[in-house]
Amino acid sequence: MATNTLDPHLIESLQQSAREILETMVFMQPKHIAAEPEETSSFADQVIGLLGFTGTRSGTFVVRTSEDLAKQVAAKMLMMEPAEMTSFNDASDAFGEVVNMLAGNFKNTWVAGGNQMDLSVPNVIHKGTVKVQSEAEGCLRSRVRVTLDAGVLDIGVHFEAKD
Amino acid sequence: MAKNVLIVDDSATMRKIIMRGIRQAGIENADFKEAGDGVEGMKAIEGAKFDLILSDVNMPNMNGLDFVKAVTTKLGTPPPIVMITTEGSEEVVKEAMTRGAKGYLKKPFTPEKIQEVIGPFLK
Repeated sequence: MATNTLDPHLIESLQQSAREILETMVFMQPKHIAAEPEETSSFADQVIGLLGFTGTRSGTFVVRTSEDLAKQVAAKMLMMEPAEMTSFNDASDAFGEVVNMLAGNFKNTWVAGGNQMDLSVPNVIHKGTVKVQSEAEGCLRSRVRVTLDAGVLDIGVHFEAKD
Repeated sequence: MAKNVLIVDDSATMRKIIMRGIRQAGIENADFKEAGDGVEGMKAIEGAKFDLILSDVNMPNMNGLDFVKAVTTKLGTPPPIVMITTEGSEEVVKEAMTRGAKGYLKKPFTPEKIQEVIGPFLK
C-alpha cells in the first residue's frame, strides 16, 4: 500500500528545527540534512525515541539512531565524555529530550496552519523493535536524515489515517 | 544575596542544561532546586520560598499549565513563573499567561535568550 508524504513546508520546518536543536542544545554541527522517503513502519534500531500525538491527526514521531551516537548526543548536552556515561539511562533521558524538542517545534508549525496537536511525553527504547500505524490508505509519513560526524540520526513523522 | 530558583522539568538533562544556561548567561546569584513534574513542584513550594519558578509544559502526572494554576491558587501571590518549553504556539503561551505565568522561553534557547527572558527576574 503506497503512503503519501507530508507537505513540503512541514518537512522544511523539521529540517530547520533539527539543525537549530543540534547546533544550539547539543553543540553538534550537522554535515547534511535531507528529506528522504520513510519506507517502513517497523523499526529495529539500537535506540528509538517515540512520541505520540493526537489532535487534527494522530500519529507518532519515531527518531532513531545508534547507541554510540545517542551517547555522544547525551554527553554533548551534559558536557561529559561519552566514556563517563556508565548507564544508558542518562543517554536515554537526553535523547528523549531531543525527541521532545523536535516534536514540539514540529507542533508549532503544524498548529500555525490551523491544526491542533497534543503531545505525549517521549519514550526511548533501547535495542527493541517498534511498529507504528502508517501503512493504511490515507496515512502520511516522512523522514529527515541528519548526518553528523559521529553517525546518522533519522527523524520520522508518521500520521495515521484520518478517522 | 542568592535567589532561590525552582526548575520543574521531567528531563534531568534539561534541568542541568537550564542551570548551566543561566550561569552561562552571567547570572551567578541563583541557587537551584529541582522537581521532576508538577506534583513534585507543588511539594517543593510547600517546603521553601522561591524567587522564581521555571517550568516545562509537557510533563507526566501534572503538566506545566496545571502546575501554574495550582501554584497560583495555593500561594495567591506566587513568585514569577516562566515557562520553558518547546510548545511555543500562541494557544499554549496564552493559556500559560492566563493561568499566571509571567514569561516564556522557547527550547532550543541560547544564553543570550536566557538573559533576556529570565535575567530581569533575578536582579
